Amino acid sequence: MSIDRRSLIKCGAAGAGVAIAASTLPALAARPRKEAPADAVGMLYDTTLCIGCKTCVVACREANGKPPDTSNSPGRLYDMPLDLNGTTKNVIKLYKDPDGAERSYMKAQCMHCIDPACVGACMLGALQKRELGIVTYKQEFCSGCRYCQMACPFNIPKFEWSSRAPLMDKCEMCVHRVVKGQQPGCTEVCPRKAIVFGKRADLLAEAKRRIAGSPKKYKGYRKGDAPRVYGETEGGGTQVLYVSHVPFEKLGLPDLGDKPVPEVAQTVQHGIYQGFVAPVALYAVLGAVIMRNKKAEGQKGKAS
Amino acid sequence: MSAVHEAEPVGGPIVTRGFRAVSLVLAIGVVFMIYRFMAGLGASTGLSDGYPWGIWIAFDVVTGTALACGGYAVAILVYILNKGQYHPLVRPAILTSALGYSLAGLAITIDVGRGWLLYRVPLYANHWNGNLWSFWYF
Amino acid sequence: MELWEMNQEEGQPAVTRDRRDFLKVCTMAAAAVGLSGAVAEQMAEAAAKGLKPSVIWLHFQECTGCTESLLRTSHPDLAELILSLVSLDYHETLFAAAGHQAEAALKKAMVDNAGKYVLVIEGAIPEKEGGIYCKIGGRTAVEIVNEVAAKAGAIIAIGSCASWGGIPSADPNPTGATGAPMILKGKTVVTIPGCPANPHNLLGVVLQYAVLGTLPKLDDKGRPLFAYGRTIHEHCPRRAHFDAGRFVQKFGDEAHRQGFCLYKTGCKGPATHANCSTLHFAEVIDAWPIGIGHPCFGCTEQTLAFRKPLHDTVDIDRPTPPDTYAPIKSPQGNVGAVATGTLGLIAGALLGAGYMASKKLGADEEQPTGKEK
Repeated sequence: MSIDRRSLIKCGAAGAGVAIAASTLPALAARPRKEAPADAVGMLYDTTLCIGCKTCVVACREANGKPPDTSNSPGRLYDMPLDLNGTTKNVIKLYKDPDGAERSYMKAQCMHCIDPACVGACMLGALQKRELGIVTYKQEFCSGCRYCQMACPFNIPKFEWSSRAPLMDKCEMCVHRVVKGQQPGCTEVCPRKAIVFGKRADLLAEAKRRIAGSPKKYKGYRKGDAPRVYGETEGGGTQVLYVSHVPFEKLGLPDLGDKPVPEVAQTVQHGIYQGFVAPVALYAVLGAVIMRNKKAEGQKGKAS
Repeated sequence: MSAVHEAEPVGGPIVTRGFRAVSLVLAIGVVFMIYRFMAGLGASTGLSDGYPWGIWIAFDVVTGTALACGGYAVAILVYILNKGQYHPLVRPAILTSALGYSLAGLAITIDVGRGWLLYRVPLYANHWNGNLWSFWYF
Repeated sequence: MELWEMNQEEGQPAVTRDRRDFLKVCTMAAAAVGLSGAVAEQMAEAAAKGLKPSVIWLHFQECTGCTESLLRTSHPDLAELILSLVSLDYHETLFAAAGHQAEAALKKAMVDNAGKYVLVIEGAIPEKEGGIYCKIGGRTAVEIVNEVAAKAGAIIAIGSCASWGGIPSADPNPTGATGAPMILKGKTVVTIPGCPANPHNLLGVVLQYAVLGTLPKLDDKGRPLFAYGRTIHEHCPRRAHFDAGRFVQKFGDEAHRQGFCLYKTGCKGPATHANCSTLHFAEVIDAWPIGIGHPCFGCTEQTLAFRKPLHDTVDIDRPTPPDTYAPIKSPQGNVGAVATGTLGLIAGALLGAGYMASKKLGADEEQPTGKEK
């Protein structure tokens, strides 16, 4: 058989219909921006106060029952993680510019995004925003696929690379302590209150108050930017907030803009599968093509 | 014209040089698979938090999936678009697809940390998750 | 006959004290071992009523080093201790009496203060061949310790030898030496290990028992937590050098002169529980191994002292962060040569296969076979 011009046009039209439907659906289902829950808790880290004592690193291990990580220290003498890893939920990093004129500590931990990419990427729903907006992890739902690692813009979730049945590891804001009315391990021990725990709204107000009080001390994302609170809107907002005396880009914080990280991907995905319309439509078109071809073959058979 | 192509045996020995070569690759793979369940993924694959997914993901997506989806492509060509002259390709294409997808699925159970929990995917899935659909696709 | 009475009868200058002086001594003793001033007052009152605790001190396989260090303590000094604070009723080194007279004093003290006296054991106790390797007055150490411990109010093993066997129990342990807790199974034995033990830790236990009638909290090895609750490392004056990674590489090098950390020369501080770093011996500043530039040898730990070679390093009990920081951007890791090579091979094979396939397909088209129709 051969496809004649007429049928080709027909076929093309049907295909175009599907394509148009698929492309307009996302727009119809445009995903609403998420707000922090009313009772959202958070943490505020102020680099101008941190003295790099790492008490929080030790307290974090104790609060979460994690063993010290000595794998990077010669002779295994020190608890010395080079970054967050499968046993380290919290680490103090040091930024030093090459001239040595500017330096700052940086507390790396989960940002507890208001609209987290890891939650969107998690197949089984192990990572979810649960109590108080904290992004928590339920290990019984984790298959260890590491999609969350690929999704997180802050490079936070870490994997137990040397375990036979590995799990992920990341800060859960000590939710097991918070629900009992205690503070997270790190904020409880910080000797200078460089990291404080509280309601996100209160912390945001406090951060802005600090910036308003000493606008010259605090910085923005890049050199010369107006001082701001990192996490107020970045990536749709985070529940862990940073104020800093060095530009945030130097601290390794990504430039995310205001758009939630998973917005585009989820809008497309959710759009395509909205009400399962697109797959059904696709199969309908394929069915129609089969029917048409069958009819055409039948007619041809009669004709010959 | 006929859309039916009679199957006929290829004949010849099963254990050829190519078969032996591929078996060797398989044996090496089995050794590493056992090692992975003893020492963990980091030691057996060289993956790290810096590179959580290895080249095999890229290779699998670009090559393995492309090869395996030949089954779909040929099936659409022959059964939907009614191109009967390509029917001889259907059997090898479907076989390649079946093997390709099954092996990719099996490989994933070893590559993820806790493959034995993957059965929960259809039960407790995060329903709006795109990756879930990529799982179905597999 | 008590030492006190003996002194007076023999016309020697009697140790006489007014209440004020005495209270001073008690306060000093209480403060030295971390008890409160109120305890000092109770202690003084008890002593004034003649309720001084009776102490029986037994020596077995040992060097008398623990007694020697007790003799050199000055806060309070020995005279104040044994004349004012406790009633030392039997002590072979310090006894004026000898022979049968001494044995009689022991018997008398045991009868007079039955169930109340404090038994201090110094030295290991040999068990091999019926315990014949240590005999006093024709009786073995095992017999003596069992008899005296039966009526004791509190039992204290001073020194590493009495605590678990110490030097006498080091390999090959020819006498089967062991510690008091192993002989006196089922009884609470406060162990004050150390080689020698810090006398203040003994004083603390004895005075608390004398005044309050209680024993301090103990760890699983019977060591009082007030003295053995932390590792040397946690309170080491050289700790800053450890955290900064400044180590003595060998004795006498420049780092050693600078007073850097002795870990690499075999310091057992990170695994040794004791208070040497905060309570120096005999009130002499820096009178302890690390203070004089020698690594701690772990004398309070059964697994370390006389078992682990002197200059071998130990594992850190609880590693803590060093004085360095992680970089902002951590190294991402390497793509290994094997991985790159494998990828290259696969890519090459695919390219080759594709080329061959396209060639074949082209050839097929040129020479159509009969199969296709």
